[in-house]
Amino acid sequence: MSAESWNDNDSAATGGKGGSDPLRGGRRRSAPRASGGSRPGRNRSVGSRRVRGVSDLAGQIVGQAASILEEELAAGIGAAREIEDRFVDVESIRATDPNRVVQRLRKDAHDVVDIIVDLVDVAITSTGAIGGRAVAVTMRAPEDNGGAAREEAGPQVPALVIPEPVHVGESATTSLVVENNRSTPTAPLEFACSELVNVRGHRIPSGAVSFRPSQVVVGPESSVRVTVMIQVPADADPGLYSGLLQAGGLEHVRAVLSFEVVAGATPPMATSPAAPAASEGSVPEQSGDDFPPSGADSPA
Amino acid sequence: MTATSAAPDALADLRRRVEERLTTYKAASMPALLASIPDKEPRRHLYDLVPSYPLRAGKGLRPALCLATCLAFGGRMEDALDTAVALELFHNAFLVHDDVEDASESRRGLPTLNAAHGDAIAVNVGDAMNVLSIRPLMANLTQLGARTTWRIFEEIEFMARQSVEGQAMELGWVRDNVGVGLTEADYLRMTLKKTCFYTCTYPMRLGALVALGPDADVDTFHRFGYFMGAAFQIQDDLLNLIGDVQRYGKEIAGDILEGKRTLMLIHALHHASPDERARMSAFLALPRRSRRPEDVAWVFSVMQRVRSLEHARSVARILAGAALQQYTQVFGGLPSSPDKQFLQDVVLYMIERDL
Repeated sequence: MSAESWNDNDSAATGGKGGSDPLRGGRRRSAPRASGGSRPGRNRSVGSRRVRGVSDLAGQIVGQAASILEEELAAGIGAAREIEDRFVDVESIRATDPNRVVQRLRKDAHDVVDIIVDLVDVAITSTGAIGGRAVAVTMRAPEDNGGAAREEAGPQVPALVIPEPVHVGESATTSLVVENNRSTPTAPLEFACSELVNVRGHRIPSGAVSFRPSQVVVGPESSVRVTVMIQVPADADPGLYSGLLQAGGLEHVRAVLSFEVVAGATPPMATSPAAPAASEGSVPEQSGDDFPPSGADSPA
Repeated sequence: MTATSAAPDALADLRRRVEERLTTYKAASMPALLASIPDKEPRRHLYDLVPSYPLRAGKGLRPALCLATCLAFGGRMEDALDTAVALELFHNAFLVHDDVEDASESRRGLPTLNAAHGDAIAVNVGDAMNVLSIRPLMANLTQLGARTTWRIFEEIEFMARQSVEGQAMELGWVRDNVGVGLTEADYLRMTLKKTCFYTCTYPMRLGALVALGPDADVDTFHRFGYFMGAAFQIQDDLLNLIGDVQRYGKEIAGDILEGKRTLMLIHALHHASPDERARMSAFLALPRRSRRPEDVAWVFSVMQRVRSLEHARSVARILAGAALQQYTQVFGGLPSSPDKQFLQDVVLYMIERDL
């Protein structure tokens, strides 16, 4: 059907009164046609009338759509500003240390995403965990000032914390990210962990910690995620354990691994199979049974 | 501006090009999506069902637009994958919930999740998809940095809110049996909010942000995305009425059965005779289970008589033409690439498709 016949239908459907077309929502831009009497161009050729009809309809549709878009964008921008106002001074936060922004993101992520679904509480429970696990371990070239790098690295050793307690005899998985900011790939890196010690001096041997992949080469200006698996011995003493993770040959690439060991068996819901292996480029599973978490955040 | 159409040979070439690119983008995004689904219990009633819709024969349009835009602006595909996965999960969550809300029975040629597993399981699977879409967005932190990650969260928040507001408009029209009072402008506004933002505009905005960084001006995508998305939605509604059920994968004329206020229905309500309009209003006032197939067929016959389908087709082509004009402004200055070409081709593809 041509646009012209739509206009003709208009006239018929409105009883030939030629008033504003209700379908246009009162925004009709071209003058309505009267069903009788003279009107300019009435003796035009059929072809030119058809072209004119299409052009009129196109102008109406596109103009109408553009007006709606502008209205909704104006309303949306206002609403977006309201939301930003809830997040204190977002602009100043953006301008500061990226780590502060990350912390802010973790804190405010709930407010942002709860608009998506009510169940977002569940996800936000793990927001901090993910941020914590995505530890940025910056590679530095060996030919750089090694002493300075080590000095700088000292107080900035990232913490790799497993947020959920691990029961004796069970395993947990977390991950870290090794970033290479250089324009050349790294040498093959192998990871190792020291003995883990709790506050009472009890130890978990270093062999309880393994890495997948066991060896990585990080390409230029890219990153690799390494999965860290901990198998807590059945006879381990409860308490908070810590140990030092290092990349072989690059002692400034390191992180402190911490987790709490608790006695007793995991409740039935938590005895699901160990978390799956994390594929590169994906966010690996949190230890044990983190989804959905037990407790008040679980949906009824 | 003129209505847009393509010659048969050119159309066949265009379809081939678009489908090749869609396959390429999907080959990249689908493994990432599947990897994002937890491999753990509860499987039977949750995680095994999450990939059900994504693995069906969908086009993967949203991740494709995101990836194509990122690549067209010189970005890397791997940098946009997490965002593309989040978009596809969000979209599929929307579909699952939409099917429950509409009591739909088939989707992409197979039973809907609600038809196969019940409303409660389906709603929870949709919820899980929404939740799972957040994790890849957070994973952007390591790849894209804090500022871009935050910016993407802002974009997603706006996009998701607009989508549910648009859906609320449409559901409200059905719930309150609004009919003759609706105008074409109402339909276009609802479509902008319900479909265009999350189907076209924001996937492209996000792809550009990944490529160009958090300070990129991505407002230039608004008109292009809106015109393209509205044309897409109108074509989708047309296919619901006249498509091949085997190819389209949904119940044909299911939108009439559900009382959806499509452009065709609004047009028909305004152009039917007073008696027809009264009967249509009475039909729309019935609960879905009380609507008979013969009444659905009758409403369709009214649409045909007052040429509502032709009008909708004309509007879709006009909007596609407007989108192509916008395309030139947004992408015209970029170097030639298959991705840039895809973003142009996809406009015509979407209004000429039959599924």
